[in-house]
Order: sequence, then C-alpha cells, then structure tokens
Amino acid sequence: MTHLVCLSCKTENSRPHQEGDYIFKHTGKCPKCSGEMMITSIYVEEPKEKKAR
Amino acid sequence: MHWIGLLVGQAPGTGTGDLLSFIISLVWLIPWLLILFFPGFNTKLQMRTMLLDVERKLAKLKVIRDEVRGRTIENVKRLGKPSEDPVPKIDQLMEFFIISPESMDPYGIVGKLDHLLQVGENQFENEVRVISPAAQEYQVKNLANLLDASRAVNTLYRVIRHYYLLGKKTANIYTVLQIQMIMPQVMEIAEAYRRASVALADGQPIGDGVGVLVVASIAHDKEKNRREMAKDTAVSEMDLDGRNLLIVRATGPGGNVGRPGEAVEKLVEKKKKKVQLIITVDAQLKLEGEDTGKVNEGVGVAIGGTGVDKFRIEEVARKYDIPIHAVLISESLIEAITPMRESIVKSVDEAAGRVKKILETTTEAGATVILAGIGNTIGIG
Repeated sequence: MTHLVCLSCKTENSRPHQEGDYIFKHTGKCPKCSGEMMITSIYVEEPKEKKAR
Repeated sequence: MHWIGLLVGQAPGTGTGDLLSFIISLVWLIPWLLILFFPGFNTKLQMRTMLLDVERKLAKLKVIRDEVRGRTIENVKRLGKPSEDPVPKIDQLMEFFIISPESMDPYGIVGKLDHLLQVGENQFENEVRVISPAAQEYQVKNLANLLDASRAVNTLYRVIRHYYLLGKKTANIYTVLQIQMIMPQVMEIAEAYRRASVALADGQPIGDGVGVLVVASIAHDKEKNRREMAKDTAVSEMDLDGRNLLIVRATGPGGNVGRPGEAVEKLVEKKKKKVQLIITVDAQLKLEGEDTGKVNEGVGVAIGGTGVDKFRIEEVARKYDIPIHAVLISESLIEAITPMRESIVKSVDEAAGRVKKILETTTEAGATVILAGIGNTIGIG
C-alpha cells in the first residue's frame, strides 16, 4: 500500500502501490483542497494473527 | 520348502491360506536378511531417500531461479529497451564474481577488500547500464539490485546442485546428509529472494531500508546544504534542538547502500575534533521469537555487510576519541530483503524518538553530531 498525506490540509489517503512511487515523492492533488500530496510510507499489510485459544 | 515353513512359523502342508502367509512372511523376511548379510544396504536405502528429497527441492529451487531470471529479463527489456537481445549478457552477469583478497598476510586487507568491492560494484553497474540504455539512473540501480538477486539465487542453485551431484557420484552419505539438513533454510532464503525480486522490479522499499527511512524522516524538509560526500552517498545539515546534525545516507529512490563509511570518515577528518558523537541507525537481525520492529539501543557501529564501512567508522572514531551510539530495528533476514512490512514502518517514529533522546542525554546544545542512516534506499527519496 502507498500512503499519502496532503501538505496543506493533512488529509490522509492510501492506494495500491504503483510503479514509480517512492517515499517523500510529491504526487497528485488532494481530493479535498487540491493541495499537493506527498507519499509518506509504502508497505505491505500484515495478515492479522489468529487469537490464541 | 519344509525348513522355510518352519522358519516363518508355519506347519507344513496346511492348505492355500498357508501359501499366502508364507509369501507375506517371505516378503517381510527378505529386507531383514538383506540388512543382516549386506550391512551397507540400509545406508544405501537411507541415502537414496535423502537424495530423492534433495532432488525434489533442487527442482523447486530451479523453478525459483528461472522465475527470478525471467523477471530480470522482462524488466531489462521493458525499462532498458536494449537494441540487442540482453539474455546472453544477463546470463553472463548472473555468474559474475568478485575474488576475495588473499588473507595470508592480513595487514591492509580492509583496503584491498574495499578496492575490490568498489571495482566489482562499478563494473556490475556499468554492465547493467550498457544493456539498459533507455533506463534512468535510479532504474539502473534497481535493475542492478534485481540482477544481484538473480545472481544470488543462481549461486544457491549451482552450489546445491554441485553437492547433490557430488554426493550421488561418490555415494557419500555425509555429503548428502549435510545438504539435506540445510535444504529448509536454503529454500526459505530462495523464496525470500523470489519475493525480493518482485519488490526490486517495482521499486518498492525493502525492510533493510528502515535505517535510511528513520534518518530521512528526521531530516525531511529541515535539511540544507545537501551534497555528495562519497559515491551514491549524500551529506546534509540540519539543526535539531540546538545541535548541528550532519546527516549521512545513501541517495534514493534507486536501490543502493552508498558508502557511509567513507562519507563519515571524510566528514570527521574535515571537522576533526568538532564532531562529538556519531549515531548509526540500521536494521538488526532479530532472534527467533522476537517481534519485528522492536527498537534497540547500544554502543558501536551498526553496519552489516562486508565490514569495510564499519571498520572505517571505528578507525576514525578511535583516532579522534568520538563516542559511537547505535539504534537498531529488529527484523529477520527474509524481512530485510522483501517489501517493507507495516510493523517495520510503525517502528520508524519510535526509532526517531530514541535518536532524539540520545542527543538530549549525551550532548549539549551547540554540539556537532553525525547521524548516519544505513541501508538500501530503494523506494525512499
């Protein structure tokens, strides 16, 4: 997953990773305020562990 | 026939059921007689079973090797757009090697190793650049990383095949036994390289990059005067709680680890006694049962690899009597080379907090401190 934050209104967003994405890359516009979005993290989500009986 | 019947506990001439039980008993008895009269039989049988197991895993290893090779070829063609078929060159690079220096006289061996590694790295990268003329510089770094993963899996496959064939040829059970014992770990490493190849092809950050990410998150938007201090290694400056921080890290977003040892050495030699503390941040191999993303603190240089960078920092720190602190983030070897996990990303803030705490407790305002983020910068700008 690629997580993005708007540099103006701090709106957080996430989407599947795309080729060319990297952390601290300024990419796209904020859907709320049209400010600049920046990628803050890229990671693989971990499956939730089953509760021990 | 009478004596055989007695041997297997049968009374002679007692009907058709007797013949069946006699055959069953004979089938049961034959292996025992073979073991009794031919002592090597059981060893041969055991070795055959082990060879079959190794053979099955070797076939799986070949599938992984071919998959990673195929991904490398596909990416070189897609990003590099070579005019000629790159496959022969890729196959040649998959068997590229660096001969380690002679250690009979260990004096000066670090310098020799450093030189050989530099030459090898430059040569490898140049070869990738030649077969990928259309690729941008960061893509060349990623392709070099991908080709390196192919080379690693290929080496695993070649070595295991060598010992399998050697064990089979010499009928040496101890050779086969050793190979069979390490196969589960070998398969785990090969599988990790397979997953790493996906990340490297896409340019995704890997677990090993966490040290760089911690330092980059501290310095982001605050650093100034950024310049290259060593190959693929940048130095910048920033103020943090009144301390003058000199940030050392490899340059991204292409996949490379830079030369942090050389950069820190040059910085200290330039600033001399002004540097009051060196902090390194890196990923640490966790022990089984430990949590991924656990942050640990200690003293010393936190750099893995060949030891050249670690040696250079230790030498310059001893020369100028500079304390060295380390902040480490726990992860397994597999997590270090596969796409960065959520638990590792979540540890970044805690690790950054630990760095700030070390600065607060060990230095005073106005101090000059070197903060080095160690690791692969793939996917980190």
